[in-house]
Amino acid sequence: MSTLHIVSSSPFQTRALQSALKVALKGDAILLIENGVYAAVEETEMAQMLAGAADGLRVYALVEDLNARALSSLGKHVIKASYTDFVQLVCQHHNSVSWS
Amino acid sequence: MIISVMVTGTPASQQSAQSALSFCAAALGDGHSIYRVFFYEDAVLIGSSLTVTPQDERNLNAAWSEFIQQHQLDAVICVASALKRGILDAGEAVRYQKPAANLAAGFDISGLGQWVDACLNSDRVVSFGA
Amino acid sequence: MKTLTFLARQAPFGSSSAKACLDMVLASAVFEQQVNYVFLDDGVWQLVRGHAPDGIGAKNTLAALQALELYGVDNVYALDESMTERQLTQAHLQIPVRLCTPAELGAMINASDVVTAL
Repeated sequence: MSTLHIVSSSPFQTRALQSALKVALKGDAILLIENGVYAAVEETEMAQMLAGAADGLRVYALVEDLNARALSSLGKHVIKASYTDFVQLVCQHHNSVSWS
Repeated sequence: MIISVMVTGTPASQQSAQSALSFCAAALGDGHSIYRVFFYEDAVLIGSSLTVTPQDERNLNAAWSEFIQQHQLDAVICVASALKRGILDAGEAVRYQKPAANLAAGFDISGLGQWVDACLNSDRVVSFGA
Repeated sequence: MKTLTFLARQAPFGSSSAKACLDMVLASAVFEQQVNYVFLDDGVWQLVRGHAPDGIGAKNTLAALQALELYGVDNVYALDESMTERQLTQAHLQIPVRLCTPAELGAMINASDVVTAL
């Protein structure tokens, strides 16, 4: 059993990502959507926080939201996901939590 | 799988109602079924048939209404949230003696019980919004 | 029966999220589901005793929180870190809650069928 944590607000603006990381367990996944994708930008404090937490946690970012925001230099641990991947992630995990 | 979706973000100023629409389209495209879409809090504004958008912008309300009708989805607008925000179907307009009803085609107004029912009858539930 | 877990994350009064979450909790309890109601982040401010929201045209949430017991919602938690960060202890709260750690909350979330954060 594992949980998909969907984070939709910028880590520079809210603590949604921090809260998600605090309770995420090994085997869970983080999916960054909407302004949440700003956490995927490489070499920021947030990227380091994500990378540090990434041990046993997979981190995805929604391609449509990355492209819309001109974000191309992503942290190495970030996996790009399409909306179809989003649906599949929802199905692969037992449940999801939306952090905004 | 059987999926239900809840939307809470306000459609005109937040991205979540658009994200939810893209998600639903992808879910149907991937062969899943959508048991119900439940609009709660400010997201009930998606049910207004009176929104007008500039010609070069997408009318998200119309897009949702068309999507729901095209796929014959069960789309529920939370009654408590809706009445507070001036979204009324014909029945509620009469009951509360209001001059007009504005609920767009495809949507139903009903209670939170419909959301709990969706939780009980779906394999997965995904929320979008504030 | 399904396990429905609610995460109340917003402070009261500034937005309608607190009430929206509570209404969902009560609706789920009416359907006799297993409900976990967890206060974390600014949500723990919802629990503080002595609210006097008359002056801002808002309703007091005390009666609704006290109704939880009548609705059979016994699993009410607050995240210990969120309490500590805000200098809150159980003595500041208007209803009794159980404290949980982030790891315990993670396990609770994992064991739930549906999780709703508001």
